[in-house]
Amino acid sequence: MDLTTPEVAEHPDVLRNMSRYTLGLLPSEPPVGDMNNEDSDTNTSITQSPTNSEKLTDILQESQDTKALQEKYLQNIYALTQNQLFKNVEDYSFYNLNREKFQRDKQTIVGVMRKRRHVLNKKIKRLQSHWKQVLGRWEENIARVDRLTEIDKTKNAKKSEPFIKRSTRKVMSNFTAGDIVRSEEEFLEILAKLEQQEKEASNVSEASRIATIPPMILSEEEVKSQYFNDQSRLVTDCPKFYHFQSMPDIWNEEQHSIFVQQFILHGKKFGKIAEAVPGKNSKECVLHYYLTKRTTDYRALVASATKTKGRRRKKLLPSQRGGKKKSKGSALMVDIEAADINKTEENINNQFQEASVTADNMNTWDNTPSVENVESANENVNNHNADEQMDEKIKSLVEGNSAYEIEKGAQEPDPMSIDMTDKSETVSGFKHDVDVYDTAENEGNNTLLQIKESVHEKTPTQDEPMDISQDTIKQEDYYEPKLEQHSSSKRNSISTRKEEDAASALANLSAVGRSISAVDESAHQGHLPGWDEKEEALIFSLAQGMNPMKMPLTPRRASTGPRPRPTFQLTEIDSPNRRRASDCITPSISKILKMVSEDAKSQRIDELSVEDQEHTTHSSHTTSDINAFPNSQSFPRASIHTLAALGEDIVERQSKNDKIV
Amino acid sequence: MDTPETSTPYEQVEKGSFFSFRPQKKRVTYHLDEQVGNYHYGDKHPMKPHRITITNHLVMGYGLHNKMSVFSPRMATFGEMSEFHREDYLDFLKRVTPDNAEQFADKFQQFNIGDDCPVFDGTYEFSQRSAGASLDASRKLVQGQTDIAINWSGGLHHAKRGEASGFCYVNDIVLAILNMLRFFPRVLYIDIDIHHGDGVQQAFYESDRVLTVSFHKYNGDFFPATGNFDENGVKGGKYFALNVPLEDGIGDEQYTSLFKSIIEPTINTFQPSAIVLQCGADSLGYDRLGVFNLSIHAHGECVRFTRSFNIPMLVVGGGGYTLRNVARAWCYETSICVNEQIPSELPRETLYYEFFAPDYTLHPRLTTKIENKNTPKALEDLRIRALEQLRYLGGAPSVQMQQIPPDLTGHLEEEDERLNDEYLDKAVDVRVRG
Repeated sequence: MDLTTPEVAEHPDVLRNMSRYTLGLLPSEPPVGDMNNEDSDTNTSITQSPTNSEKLTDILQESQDTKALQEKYLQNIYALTQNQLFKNVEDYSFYNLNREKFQRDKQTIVGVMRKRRHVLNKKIKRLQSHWKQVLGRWEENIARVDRLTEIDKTKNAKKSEPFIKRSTRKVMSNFTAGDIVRSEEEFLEILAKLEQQEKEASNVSEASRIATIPPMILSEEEVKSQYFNDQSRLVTDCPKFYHFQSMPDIWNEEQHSIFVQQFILHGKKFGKIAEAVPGKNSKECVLHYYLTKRTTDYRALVASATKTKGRRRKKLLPSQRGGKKKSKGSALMVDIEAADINKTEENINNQFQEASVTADNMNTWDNTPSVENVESANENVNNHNADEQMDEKIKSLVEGNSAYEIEKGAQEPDPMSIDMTDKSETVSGFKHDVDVYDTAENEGNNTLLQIKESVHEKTPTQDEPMDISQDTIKQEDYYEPKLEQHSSSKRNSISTRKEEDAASALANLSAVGRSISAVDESAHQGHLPGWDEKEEALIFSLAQGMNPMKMPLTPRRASTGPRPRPTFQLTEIDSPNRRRASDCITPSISKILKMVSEDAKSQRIDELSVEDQEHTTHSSHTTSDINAFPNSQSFPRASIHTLAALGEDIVERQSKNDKIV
Repeated sequence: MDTPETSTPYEQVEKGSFFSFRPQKKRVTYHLDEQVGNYHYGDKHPMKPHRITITNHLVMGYGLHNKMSVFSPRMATFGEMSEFHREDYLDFLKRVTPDNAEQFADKFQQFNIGDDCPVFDGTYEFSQRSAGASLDASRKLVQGQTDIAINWSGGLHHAKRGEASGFCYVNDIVLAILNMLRFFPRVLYIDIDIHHGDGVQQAFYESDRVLTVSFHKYNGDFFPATGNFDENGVKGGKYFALNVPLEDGIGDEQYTSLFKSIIEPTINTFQPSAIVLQCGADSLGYDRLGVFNLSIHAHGECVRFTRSFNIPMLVVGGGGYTLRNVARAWCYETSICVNEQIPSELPRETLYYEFFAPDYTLHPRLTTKIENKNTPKALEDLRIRALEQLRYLGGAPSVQMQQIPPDLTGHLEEEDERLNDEYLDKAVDVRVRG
């Protein structure tokens, strides 16, 4: 209490001296804390903001001392303006007064400062002694904790033998606790590593990487002086100051073109670019680069310049060589290059996954119920058509209309022969690749597989074979309904020829309608138009080829039982069809010439129409429609001629069989 | 325990503790130099200072600048930076330019200038702006003017006293902590960058007033190849460096639970007066150098947890080399500091909206296909090891005392004798009176 009372008594004197010194504008040396108090008062009163430290400002405003100080300060400033200005400081009236006042108060100020220092030193000594006491207790605690950890480890060691091994391994690997030692060798190793650690620690200190920590400010007055609401350099309008919506990048076309040219030359050395661009510095160039990066493709511009390519290639080589070695100055860049390599590998995997995603989409399409319904409907239609054809054949044989049948068989191959000649290459190619099976349906499936393989070659190849097999399976499901649709339409057209004129006309119309509906269904499936055309042509030719094959196949199967003759049978099937077709055309033309001129004209028109529409899906229907009428009209007249043609065919077949044998 | 010398306007402050008068709502200051984002490290260098400009545009787009005080700090002076860095190193940085680099080629090896830390236009100026913002932030904390100070241009934790390292030239974190230690008895440094905060650890390796905690990837070869769990300080700083080395591919749940289980006992044991949190964003998934699988939400959860202790906090940036994700993460963490909920859809008005294509969201999916090599047992061992190290901190003199005396190493035995003499004198007086 004795120490504090004189300071309290002397405090108002100090304040009075402070006010006088501010009057004189002299370089006085009062305590720093008091000065900061005044600064904080003025700043808070001027730049008060409700969001920052409201309570602090309230505390300051409420104090009467600060208000009194402000009033005195303002009065003195006001008084100054009235006085005249003098060249010499000594001429001012208050100068001598301040000097006299300072001489009288000097001893008091010095005494106060000395006492403050004394108090501070006492405090430091007290804190240091307290530090030592606490340090001693702490060291005892550390020793106690070490003992506890040792006890814990011994307990764990006693519980089980394998745990003992683990604990020893940990000790060997970490070398943090050298308590458990089983042999002198381990002990020596531990000592060696401890010495290494001490050396490393000493090396660190020798490198003087430790920061020198400044002493903590212990005087309360100095701590209080830091309670300070500093509003200097406060940004009041952030969007404007940091160019949020306003364009901070104002460049004209000339500057931008120069920037682009220099960028091609120097790359991202914006200092050199800035030297060439008038009125811009490097920071503005960096900003311009980032703002125009999305609109201007700088990479393409640099790549287009071939000369710069060579330069960069040269530069890359030493960096790649240096990348192998992990030197101190480039340790982090080497890690980044290694990470980039890993990322590129991941990108490849991502592309593969994208392909698998597309495969999943096909799965979803295949699983739609509408496709299944279409398939089942087609199967039913096919079965029904087959039964009808067999019944009609039996009836015709019983009735003795063999001549009519022969004539029908002669007329049929005309459009097929033309189609087969065009597609012979593809068909032969498929047969060479595919294994031969007994049934025609298997042949159709195999040819479809060939189509799928050729289609698959167009798609990008993938590494895993599983995906390839899955894709082929999906494509099989995708193509089956189309084949059945075309085959059903073909059989419908065949059956209509057997009926009478009026009924055949109506049947033809219905067949045309079905074919149109089939085309619409294919369009709904959403395939490329070019692909659809090729696909339909291939499948149509195959569908036509299947029908005549089935008719001769059935009796031959009964005659020839063993399997090793399938290739022989296939060759027989194909070659007679071709020659039969070629032979049939010639006599039909010669006979047509012999007929009445009107009939001959109609025949020629048929041939022209066949040639024009040979590749379209409607060609078979149009030819069948036209052929039906002249056939029915000329039936009774051409009976003799047809018999002659049959005789010629039989002779040729015998000659072919001899050649084959 | 002296009685107050005078009746002062701070009576209310003196009655309570240093922080008793702080309001419940936290005050946040944001320190950003206008030009700090307009520097470039060179061709094909992953460090891009422009990420700070893009982050700021996101912050302003969400309107977060209205929730905090924004300051444009002045650049740090040579004298301020020499508080930690050697003067010859700073003089070298000040004078070297890409044009006259050949003259200083002999000093490149001494100061570790090379591929990682190249000489670019404005090397010294960029360092001044970054360090100036961190120093300005630390001043606002010391003056009691703010509770959370943010400087995304800082966090350069690899720079050493006399050399550059890891894209860092001036260690702004050390400078800020040194300024804080004048008024705060203890400072806790937390580092969630994927790289070990070796520069800060080395600076305070012998000090018991700064506890450095770092969560990072460590395999003996990954930069900076330091930060194993057995590096825990030397001499006076023994047990005051805590390292949590992790493996590749750590996920959100593991990382946040481990972070919380270590930081909470650390804060309760060490009782820091201030916290410095380095939020390097290269620990996110899909970072150009990152091998972790952290999402932006998990990275921000660490900031949220540290903020919940109501201790004055300095938040700085750090690494982060996938520019768009860095901006997202730091914008999200700014919203956490001001306690503002922001939508996941990014604001459209910014000049850099196209940089966030194709999803334009604040929380993109950042789970990579890097295998997670952190087994639950390994993480549990790390946690136990950290807690065991914290047991030693309890009762340390720097933890017990609120005012640390200076010049402890220079303490002499003579002063002990003086103290004993004074004590005996007082004892004699007591006897005479009795």
